[in-house]
Amino acid sequence: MTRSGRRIRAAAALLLLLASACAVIAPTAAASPGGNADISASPACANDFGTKIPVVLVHGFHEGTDIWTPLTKSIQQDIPDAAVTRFDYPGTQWVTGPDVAPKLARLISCLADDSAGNGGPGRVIVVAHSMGGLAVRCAVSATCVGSAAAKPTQVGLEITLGTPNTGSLLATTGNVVSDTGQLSCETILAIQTGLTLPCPDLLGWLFGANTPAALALEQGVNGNPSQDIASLPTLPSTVPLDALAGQVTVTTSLFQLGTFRITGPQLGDLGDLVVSEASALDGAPPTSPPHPGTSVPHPGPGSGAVTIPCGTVSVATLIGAGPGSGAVTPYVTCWHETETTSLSWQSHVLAAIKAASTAFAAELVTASLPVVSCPTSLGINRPAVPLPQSRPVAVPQALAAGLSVYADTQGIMELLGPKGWSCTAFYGVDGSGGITVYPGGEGASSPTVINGSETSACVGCTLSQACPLFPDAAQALRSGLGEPCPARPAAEAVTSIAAGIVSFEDPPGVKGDGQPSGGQYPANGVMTYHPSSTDGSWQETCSLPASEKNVCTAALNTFVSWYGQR
Amino acid sequence: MSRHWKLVAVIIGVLALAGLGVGLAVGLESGPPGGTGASSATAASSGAAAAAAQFPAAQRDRLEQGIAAPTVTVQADVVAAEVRGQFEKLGKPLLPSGSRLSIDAATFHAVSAQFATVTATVTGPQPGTWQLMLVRENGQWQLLGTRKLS
Repeated sequence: MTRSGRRIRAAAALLLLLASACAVIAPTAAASPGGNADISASPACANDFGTKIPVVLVHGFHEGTDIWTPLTKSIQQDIPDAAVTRFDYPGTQWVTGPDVAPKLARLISCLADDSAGNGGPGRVIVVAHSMGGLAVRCAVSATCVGSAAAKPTQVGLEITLGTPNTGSLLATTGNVVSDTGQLSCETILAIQTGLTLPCPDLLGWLFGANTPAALALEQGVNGNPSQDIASLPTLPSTVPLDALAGQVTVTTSLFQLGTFRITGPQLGDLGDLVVSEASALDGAPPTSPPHPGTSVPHPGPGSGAVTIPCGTVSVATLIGAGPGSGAVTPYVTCWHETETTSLSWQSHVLAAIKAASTAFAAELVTASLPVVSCPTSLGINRPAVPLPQSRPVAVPQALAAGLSVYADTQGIMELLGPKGWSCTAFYGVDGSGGITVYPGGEGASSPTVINGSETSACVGCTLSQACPLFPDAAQALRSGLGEPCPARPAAEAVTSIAAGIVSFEDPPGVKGDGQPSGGQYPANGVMTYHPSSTDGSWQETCSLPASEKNVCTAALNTFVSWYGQR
Repeated sequence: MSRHWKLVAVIIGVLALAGLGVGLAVGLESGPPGGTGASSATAASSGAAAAAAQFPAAQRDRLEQGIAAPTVTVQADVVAAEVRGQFEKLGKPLLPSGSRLSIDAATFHAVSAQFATVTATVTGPQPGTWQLMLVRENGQWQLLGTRKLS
């Protein structure tokens, strides 16, 4: 039988098998668990995620959104502040095609704009498998998709899994290369599947050889990228990037000399058996020790370049010379196909998303917060000053929607607190006093409370309040008023913030400088003491459950910014 | 590429079940040696011819002499680039002094255009039969690994 005849025979067998196998492997309809969404043709995102961080999952060559089912569930379980959208597109279309990057760009823009409008981070996190990472490169470039391009600032982090930035080991044509430093397509297929079939035959049916995407993903001789990939814009260096690569290590033995690790361009970098490590990390942030191709900044929370070990195989197994030889995939812990489902890969992705989302949440935004007028008791009656309905305050993005400004009627003090709480204020004849903010209906003696006070021009009051935390106040109290300063509890933690400003924390049950303190919740506070000031010592104490420490941090930081230098 | 490899797995599985692996084996460019039945003689003949074409005697001689050469430096010339540096750094010879190596060219099997195996017999202080794994570099077969057969 001639070579072509044998191919036809093999192909016929494959066709018969394909017909029966299609029902088994037909991609399942993409589910939308937990209110997350699959998006394909629609140019609008059509989802309201509120302040949640949009996470867009982009599949790769000839894949569907079903590859993301495990990761979607993991994100839902581990990162409740994230909302997943799975972008779908025809997987054999090259990324510059009308159904890929332009639509992905519109989705990113839409989600980012909606997020900003809802008080969210105004950015998306994109997780892309394989060729999906190349689609993102195009989607954020005006030179690639024109005016449809998403702004690079709308991508808060891109995580790529085995993206073939310089092409794939699985070239579909022009693959009979032996002396050029590149593995042949047949060799790669044999490594992966154990089937020693001519590539055009197998790939013709399995991969739609010569489709635009397949051709573009080819690596030429010497591992050079195709013209399609070479002409793709690089990801802007300002977009945080976390590039993940798989690495199957190959070993060999030489008679009785022991085991050697294969190095070099051929078997030395099999990557994830489809995309080499060098290709997956090309253009990724620099690392130490250096990874191949990592030299572009891409700074930001969650960014990096990671190679995930996928196990070790021997040359004998690889080239079908030993027992159990042939297909390598059963002997490795991960490879290209498992990158979206492998637990180790998922844990890296989740960690990167968490790092980014934590950073987003902590970023300050200037929010217009409603101002609440607190009923104010005065030692000396004075007319109330007009208060604005709202005022701009720099607060963490994640908290902005849940905060209010509580103000006395005299324009002396304002405190940041949870929206919907109650408050009262009091100022004595000497001008000292402050505001207490507490949950509605619980009263000012609630264990959850935010309290601000100032000692005004009362020198003795100022020194008595400040002396436990400021040695010069204690000295002044002793020398000026002849009074000792009460010792503060050893369990009270004190940190100097700046000259004349300290923060403190009284653990639950510890009565310290917090007003109040010693209750069931920790009392976090700040205090000022500037000896030359005539405004006295200013103090704020925030006593909330430990889980709401971020609210206390925001309230105290605001207090320091407003009154730290008084 | 998830669906494709599921498909490959399905194909492999169905092939195994249906016994069609034989049909596919016929389609291989160069199947493993050891055929049976009336066709084996013909297959062996054509296989030997193919092996001779792909593994010329000069290449065989070069490997035999290089692997059994008296110095690491000379031996390194026939070791594949992927392991040469480590081999030279180790500084130990491939075979004990006084060894001879004889390659059976008829067992040459090209796994692909780049990789091949061939059986060799070592005589001398530590005799044995080895399978040599070869990689084609710059037009020459180089020693990439070994596996002891007996």
